[in-house]
Amino acid sequence: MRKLWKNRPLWIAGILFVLCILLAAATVGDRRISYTDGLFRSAALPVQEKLYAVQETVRDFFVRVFHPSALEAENESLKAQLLEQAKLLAFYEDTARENARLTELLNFTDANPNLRFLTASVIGKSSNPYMDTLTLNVGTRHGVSEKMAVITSAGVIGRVSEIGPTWCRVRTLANDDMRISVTVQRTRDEGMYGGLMTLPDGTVGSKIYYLPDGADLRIGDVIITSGLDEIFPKGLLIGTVVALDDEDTGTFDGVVQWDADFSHLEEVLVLAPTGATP
Amino acid sequence: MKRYGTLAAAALLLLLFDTAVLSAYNLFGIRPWLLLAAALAATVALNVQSGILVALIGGLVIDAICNSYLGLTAACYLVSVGALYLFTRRNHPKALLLWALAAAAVLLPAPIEWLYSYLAGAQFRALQTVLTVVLPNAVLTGLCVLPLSKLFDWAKKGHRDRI
Repeated sequence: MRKLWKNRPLWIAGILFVLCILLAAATVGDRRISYTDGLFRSAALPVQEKLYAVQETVRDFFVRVFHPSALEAENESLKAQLLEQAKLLAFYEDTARENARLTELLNFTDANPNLRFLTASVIGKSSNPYMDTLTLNVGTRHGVSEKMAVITSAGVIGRVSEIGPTWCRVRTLANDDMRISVTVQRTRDEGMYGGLMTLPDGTVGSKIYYLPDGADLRIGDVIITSGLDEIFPKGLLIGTVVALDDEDTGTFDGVVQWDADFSHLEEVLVLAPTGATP
Repeated sequence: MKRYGTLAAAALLLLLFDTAVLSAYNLFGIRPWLLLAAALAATVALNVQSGILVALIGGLVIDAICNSYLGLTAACYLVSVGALYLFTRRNHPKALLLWALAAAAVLLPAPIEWLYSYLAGAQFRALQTVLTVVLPNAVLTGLCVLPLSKLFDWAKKGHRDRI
């Protein structure tokens, strides 16, 4: 017995060996995780994660030491991949935005089946800050003619003023020579829109005039097309009244700030006059 | 405590070096099993209990990291530690003999691994594996036992000197 006790470390090693063998036997031939296996691995997981992180650091260090060129090549490859992905992402984002804009235009055309539209892209803008002219990529070959209305789902943009075979120039709402027959949405009073005016605070808008005597025009009134000029269909949004003729000059009734954002315009609809074919 | 601190630090470093570096940088799979070498060196230089502890914990950690059968590596390491303890308990062998005995102790549990691999359905050629992988690995592992046993011996002597 004393001899056995003397070999105590060996007995301990033997018992541990048998336990380990039994533990391993629980998984051999069947790669499903046993209860004991799962318990041990769950307990060891935090340690394993830390060890793995350290392992990666050590491995990276040795890769840097023994294979610097491989690391550089990998770095270059990853950079190229990243650039490619960034380009792809920019393309997808641009496509998504274009899709959203075109969907909006499509919804507008669907909602107005009696109107005839031609989709066009903006290919040029005037260099002045008001963006008073735009150039589109459609012309006579596409059925566009002078004075055709140019709109978006948000409202009026302008009118075709010059035309070529594959292009046309559009006079926008911000152009001093633009004239449109309009209606005050709230009161249904009709008048004329046109002629730029700069307010004391620096805001630029267009005048509204020829309203009937005693017309109740107020700041914030929405101005829409009246349809009387037979160019713009009735009810398209033009802008909002931002100032009134307080000094009673008699030359205008108020100032309208247009809603369209010409600087971010990319796609528009060219609208044929009623009865015409674009 | 110095000897156990040295043992724990060495075992951890060797485990990291083994699993991170040697697993990627080796010659046709020939590489020393450093943690086993640490367990064997601890058995020779410190005591068999230290060797058993390193073999058990280290083996289980390797199994957990490498996703092999849990406990198999620990069992094999324990066999090696037990064998080397039996080989060296009567005397303290010289370096060359220690190398040979350690290599022999490393070779001993190989059949257990083969048996498990066979039961798990793996196909391999035993003789070819012994000659090309296991034997060189055992020789290299035995070789690594020598400096490690010197290190642990140094840690043990330092402890004695302080006492």
